[in-house]
Amino acid sequence: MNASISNNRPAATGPSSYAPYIKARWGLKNHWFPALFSEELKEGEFDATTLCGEPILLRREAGQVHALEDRCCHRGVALSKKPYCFKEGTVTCWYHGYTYGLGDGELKTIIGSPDDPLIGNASIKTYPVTEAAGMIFVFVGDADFGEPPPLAHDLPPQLRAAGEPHYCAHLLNPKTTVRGIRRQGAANWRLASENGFDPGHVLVHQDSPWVYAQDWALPLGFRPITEHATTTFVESNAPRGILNEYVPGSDGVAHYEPVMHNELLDVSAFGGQNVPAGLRTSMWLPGVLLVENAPYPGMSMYEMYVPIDDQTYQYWELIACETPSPEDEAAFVDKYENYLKKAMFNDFNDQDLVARDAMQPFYAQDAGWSAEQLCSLDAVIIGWRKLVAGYARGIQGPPKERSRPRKTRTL
Amino acid sequence: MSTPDPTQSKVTPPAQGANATKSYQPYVDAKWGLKNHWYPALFSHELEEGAFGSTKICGEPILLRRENDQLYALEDRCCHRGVPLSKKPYCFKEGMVTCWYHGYTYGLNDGELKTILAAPDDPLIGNASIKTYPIVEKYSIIWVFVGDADYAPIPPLESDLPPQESKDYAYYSPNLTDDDAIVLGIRRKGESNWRLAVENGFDPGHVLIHWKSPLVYAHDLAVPLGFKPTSDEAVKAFEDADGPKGMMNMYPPDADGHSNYEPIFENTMLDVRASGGTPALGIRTSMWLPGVLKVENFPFPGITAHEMYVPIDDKSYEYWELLVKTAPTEAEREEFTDRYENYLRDAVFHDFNDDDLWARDSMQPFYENDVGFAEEKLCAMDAVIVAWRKLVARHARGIQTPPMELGLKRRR
Repeated sequence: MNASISNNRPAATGPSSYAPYIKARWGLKNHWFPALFSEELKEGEFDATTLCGEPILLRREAGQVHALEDRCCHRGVALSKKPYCFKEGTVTCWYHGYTYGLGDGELKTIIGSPDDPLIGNASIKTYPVTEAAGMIFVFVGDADFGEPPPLAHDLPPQLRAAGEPHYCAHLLNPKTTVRGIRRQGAANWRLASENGFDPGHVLVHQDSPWVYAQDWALPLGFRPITEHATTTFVESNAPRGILNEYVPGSDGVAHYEPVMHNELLDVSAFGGQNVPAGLRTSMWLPGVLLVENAPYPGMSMYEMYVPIDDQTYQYWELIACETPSPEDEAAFVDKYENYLKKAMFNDFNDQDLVARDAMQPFYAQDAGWSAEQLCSLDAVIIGWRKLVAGYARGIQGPPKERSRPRKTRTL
Repeated sequence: MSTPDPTQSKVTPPAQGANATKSYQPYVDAKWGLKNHWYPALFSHELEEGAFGSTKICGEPILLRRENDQLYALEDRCCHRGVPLSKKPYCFKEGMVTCWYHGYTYGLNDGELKTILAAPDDPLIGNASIKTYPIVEKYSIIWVFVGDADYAPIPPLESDLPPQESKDYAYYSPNLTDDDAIVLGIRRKGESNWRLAVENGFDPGHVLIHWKSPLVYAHDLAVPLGFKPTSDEAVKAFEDADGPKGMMNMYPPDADGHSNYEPIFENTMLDVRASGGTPALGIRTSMWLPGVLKVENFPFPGITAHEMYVPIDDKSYEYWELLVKTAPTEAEREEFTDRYENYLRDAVFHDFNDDDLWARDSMQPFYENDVGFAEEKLCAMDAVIVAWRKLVARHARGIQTPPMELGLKRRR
């Protein structure tokens, strides 16, 4: 086909060409991250999560979701262990009764010391919150960052307009139904992200029941054969991402070659006749995967890899389907609950979870970033690392180094 | 046999305090084990024709493969993204192993990258590799030489095993390497640093933990409260240039009847008396680099117990327990195998050796951050332990470094 494969290897590929990415062990900051599914936090409830090393308390009161630092400023205990609400709009710590405003995080009273001079002079961090597509999103970043950008800038855009070939569902479209799960993975979030859109990783799925059921033609890997194999999106005030151009352009030119045979090993690709039409993968800041036209044409799969700490991530798996009528919605939900949830998230995606966890020891002390031996299939991975290095709104520091500015107590 | 007067002992008590470790600093540094030595990886029967196996030795993940009766050992970490090949090793072509993740394919022989499944023209092919290890199969065990890639010449396996005793020795007990020896045993994981395991193995003061072992009751074995060295001949060092390096506790009296260790059977102040009545003849313990124990005439005269303590990482070790007997005929082999399977395996390895496992694990927290080596308060019974530490410091072929500093620099 095309022998100029080595041209696809970017000129500078070493870790120094994307140094901020190597430092981003604890995630990116000043971005929106999903915290919970909306249905997980009912009216009047508290819940908690950890994003990029920051413990966060969530509260839904009078329909409104609030997010606060889940760490009392007094002795640092987690409020979520046993959160008290004695008065609307406040949360009280179970330990010594420090009581904070949900809106501003300020210390409003101390149960046993109502005249304490600390009252009004101490606070915990609060976080911007928004709800969309059945999820609660929290903006994790610097307190002085200013007005957060729209959530849509931290999610994949609609890449193909309605009516275009291979148009598929988008999660923010009101006609779309989104279903999914979340669970924990035991790897750094970057390893999880890199596996998500890796053109060489398809080998792990060769024996998936899904591939047999759909008679998918699953190549050994996708090899980039032109300079246009990946497209980066770096416009300001818009989502930033990198796209694998698996689908030939309107001119019919292919930019990736699905490799179906390896001569030396005499191995042929697994699976059957059906080439998934319009399937493309792209990865977006701060770590959101889009798989267009999967699991079926017209649907979209999303995955999010949210740093919990430096060695675990919350793995979000979503399927989006356009459902113009209530009947459409019922049919999709039925198929999701009875088939797709297990077939995609367990039978198929479990293989990715295993692969990511398997990389963790090699990268745990950051030795892997300089010892790894990337090949031509990895051009898009280098592209992603550079994109993050150049366009992340900030790099999250380790918890110990993060400043926890407190208002000074003046007596 | 005369009991020497302890006050006349010529034995120098171990030094105490922070400076004590200076005379064997390389030993204190050997948290991850000794390098450039042979270690047992698997029992032969654990790796069948066409099978893959894996283990970790001194922090190095190792993939094992038997193909056409040939054995191979390679780094169990793909050079691409560092995943273990052993999670799901593929063999698409004889003489090769392919990674399950992206299809990086290595030669079993040289570890070189031969192809990438979906990138067969990649310039990396032929320019990247994973480490390979010398491997031999002997004495029913597969052994791997863990060390520097450029270490040469590779010493014979027997230089890392206890030597054979002269057949004329009054208490001759078989050795692992004997021609007609039968070797039976088990391996399992212990949760302590390998050095603590080794030191417990030949510790003359540790016998107290076996006081109530069913084996002692079953055979009315005389187990003293401890063995106290009474002369500088109590510990014999073996340091021949080409031979195995080791230390031996000279428990049996010399040919002239002179004894170097006093078995202590009673403590009058506490009014405690040792158990058992039948003196065990010819029991002798010795420890050999890189951590191989030989207990002659144990549990019975004519049987040797070997133990090996192989570092997995800095806080766990693979505990190998072997029983060896001379059995030239098939009938003798069957007889010993029967006795082993129905009695000795449980009685020695579990009823008895479980006490040791427990003792070693209990030392781990104190030594975990190397604090214990400076804080410990050794006593007269520990002379052989200090001698062992110095011997290791003198004769180890190298000190293993922590994994993240190890072989992660690749040839390009």
